Amino acid sequence: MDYNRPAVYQSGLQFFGTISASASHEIKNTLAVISESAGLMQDLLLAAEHGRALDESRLKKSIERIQANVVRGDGIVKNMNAFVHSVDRIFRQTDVVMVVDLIAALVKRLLDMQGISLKTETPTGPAVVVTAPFFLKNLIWLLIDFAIARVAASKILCLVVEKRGDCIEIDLSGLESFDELPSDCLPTEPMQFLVDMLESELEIDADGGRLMLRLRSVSRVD
Amino acid sequence: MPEKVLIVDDEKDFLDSVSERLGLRGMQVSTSTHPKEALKKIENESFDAVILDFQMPEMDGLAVLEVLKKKNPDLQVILLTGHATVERGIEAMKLGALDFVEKPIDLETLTKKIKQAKAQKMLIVEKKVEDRIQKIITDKGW
Repeated sequence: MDYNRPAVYQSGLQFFGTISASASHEIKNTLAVISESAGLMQDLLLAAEHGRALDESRLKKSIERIQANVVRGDGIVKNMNAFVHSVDRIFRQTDVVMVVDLIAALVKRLLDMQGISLKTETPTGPAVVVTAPFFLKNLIWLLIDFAIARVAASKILCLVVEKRGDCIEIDLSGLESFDELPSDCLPTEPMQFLVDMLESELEIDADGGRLMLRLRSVSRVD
Repeated sequence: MPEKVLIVDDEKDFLDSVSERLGLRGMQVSTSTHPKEALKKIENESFDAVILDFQMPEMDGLAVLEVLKKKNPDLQVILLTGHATVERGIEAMKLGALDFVEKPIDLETLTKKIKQAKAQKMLIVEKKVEDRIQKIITDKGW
């Protein structure tokens, strides 16, 4: 398999860059809150040293903000860690439910910036295939990125994972109709390459505003 | 007179902490978590400085800055950014920002920049008054 195609490189690198930039921005925001909260505690203590009564409720609030943002920051780092480790081995057993949950967490801020919500629905229990997890995430992101520009008025995208017989389907809906687009616009070259690489099928419902990725049974491992 | 500041950032925890700290330093602080709400506030109230986050939902700091400067060219705006690159700085200055500050912020630096913004605004106001008086004097033939 030729991994040197420019479409793959560019798409993969851009995806990696987009996610990393978003995560680093979120971490900066978290650190900013922690810094300001610690600064406020310093200000209150300094005021107390100069005879002003110590406002315990404000102090408590600052401590709670710090604790909440440490948890938040830790969550962001954990997700980034899971993301970067998806390139440790190209192909491996992968739980599609975990992939979708991770992507939803990683792109949440990017979607928030656009005023868009992403709702996910996954089956109870894992949905395991042998696939290339980084490239699967890349493909899902390309579909979401396409959807962002064409989200319906509700501004809610839905990503649903379903086990159907021997297949695992990832259904993205919530787009407005895009049947005015020329048929050769979608899938894009990077999307098609990734669909082929992942031995999957991409079903496009332009009228209904849906994209459905089917991971084929030849990849499935029980 | 205390400096009157509006801070616009979608991170509420950050807004609450910074506004409390600036309040402890004697400033009058208003906050807004959404750019469109902030634009409405600015239409109804006068501020010495507006502190704008670069990245916000639906309308980023530069877009807000552009709208603000068109409506009120004398308004002093300081941008907050997670990554203070030269390119961002140039972009911001071209659109008329007074300055930009990187997060996590150093509050003393921000405080100085707010005071600088107020001083800059007062210079503009004073110059306008001077020009107006000069015109009156000239028109009356003095």
